[in-house]
Amino acid sequence: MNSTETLPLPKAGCVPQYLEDTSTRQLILELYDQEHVAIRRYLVFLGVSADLAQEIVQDAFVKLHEHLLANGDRGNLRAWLYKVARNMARNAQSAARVTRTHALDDSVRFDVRANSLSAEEELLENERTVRLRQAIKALSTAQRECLALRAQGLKYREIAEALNLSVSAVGENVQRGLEKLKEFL
Amino acid sequence: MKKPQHISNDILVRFLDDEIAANEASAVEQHLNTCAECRHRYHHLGGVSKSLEHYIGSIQIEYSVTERDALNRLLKTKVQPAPASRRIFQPAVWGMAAAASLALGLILAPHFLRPEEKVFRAAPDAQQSTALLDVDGETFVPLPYSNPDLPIQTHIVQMQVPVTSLADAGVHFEPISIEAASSDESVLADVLLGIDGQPLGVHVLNFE
Repeated sequence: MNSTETLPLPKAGCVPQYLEDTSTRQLILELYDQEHVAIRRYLVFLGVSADLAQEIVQDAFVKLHEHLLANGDRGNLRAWLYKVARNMARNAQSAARVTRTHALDDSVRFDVRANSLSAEEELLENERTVRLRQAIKALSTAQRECLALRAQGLKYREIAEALNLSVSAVGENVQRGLEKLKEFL
Repeated sequence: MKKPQHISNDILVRFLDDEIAANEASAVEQHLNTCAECRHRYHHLGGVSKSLEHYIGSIQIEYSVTERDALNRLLKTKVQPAPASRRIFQPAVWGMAAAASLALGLILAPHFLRPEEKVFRAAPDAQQSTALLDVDGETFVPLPYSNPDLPIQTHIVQMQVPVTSLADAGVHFEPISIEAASSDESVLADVLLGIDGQPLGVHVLNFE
C-alpha cells in the first residue's frame, strides 16, 4: 500500500505534522552542525563548565524543536538559540548558588595547535593572552556578553534579540568593551 | 586652516562591524584615507577585536558524533506538537512596558528594607514551587500581581527589586554570600510582565 494513502490530506495552507516534523528535525540538525560548537564556546567564555555547556546546548536544541512544532517565530533562530542557552545557563548558575561569574577560569583549555607560530611568536602571543584575560575580567557582564556574541559573528540586532537589549545598547557595550580591552593590550 | 574633525570610537567600531549606513561608511573610509590619527585608532580597535575573536575561537570544545546522534534520536521521539503557544506579541504592549515598570516600582517600592537580612537566592513558597514559569529557557518564580490566566507575553524588564517586597509576594531568599547584596537591600532581577502590565514572575540574578 502506498504510505500516502494512509495519511490525512493536509488542509489548505497547512503543512501536515508528519511532513513538518521531518523537515523541522532536519533544520534543527543543520543548525546544530553550524552552531553547537560556537554556542558552547560562548557559554564556556561566560564561565559555564564544558560539561554543563554541552548539556545546555543539547537542551536548547530540544527546546528549539518544541518551539518550532508549536509554530514559534522562525525569524532568527540563531539569536533564539543563544538567548535560550544563555537563559538556561543563568538558571543553572542560580541553582548552583553561583553568586558571581568569572569569564574563563584557569581550567579552560585553548587550542594552541591552530596557531602554528614560532617559539618567539608563541611567547608574545601568550603574553598577549594573559593581558587579554585580565582585560576580560575588567569588562561588565553586558560588555562581555555583547563582545562574546559579536565574536561568534552575530550582528547587533541578533545580539540585541539574544540579550533583551536595544541595538543601540549593544553598540555602546561593544564600543566601551573594546575600548576597555584596548587599554590592556 | 580648519582642523579636521576626528571620528569617534563609536563610529569607528560600527564601521569595523559593518553596522553603519553605506553613505556614512563611505565618508568614514574617505576620512581614514587622509587622517593618520583615526587610522591608527581604527587599526588598534581592529587588532583588539581580532585578538578577542582569536582568543574565544581557540577555546577547546570536545565533542563526538554520538552527541548529534543522541539529539537526533531525541527529536524523533518528539513527534507530538507542543501545546499551542500562549505567548502573543502585540506592538502596543511594548508601549505599556515602560508604564508597567513604573507600576512595578509602585507596587514593590513601598516595602523598603530591613537591614538585618542579607538576601541572595530566590526560593518560592512551597505552594508556588510547582508553578514556575519558563520563558525561552529562563525560569521565573510567579508573583501574585498579574492574572495568570491571561496569555503570557515575553516582555522582560531588568531592574532592582526590594528584597522585602519580594518576601511579601511569597519569594523568600537563602543567604549565600555577602558579596551579592546591594547596599540598598535590593536585588537585580529579570521581571516578567504580564499582558496587563503587572509583574507576573521574577528571576533574581544572583551573579550580577
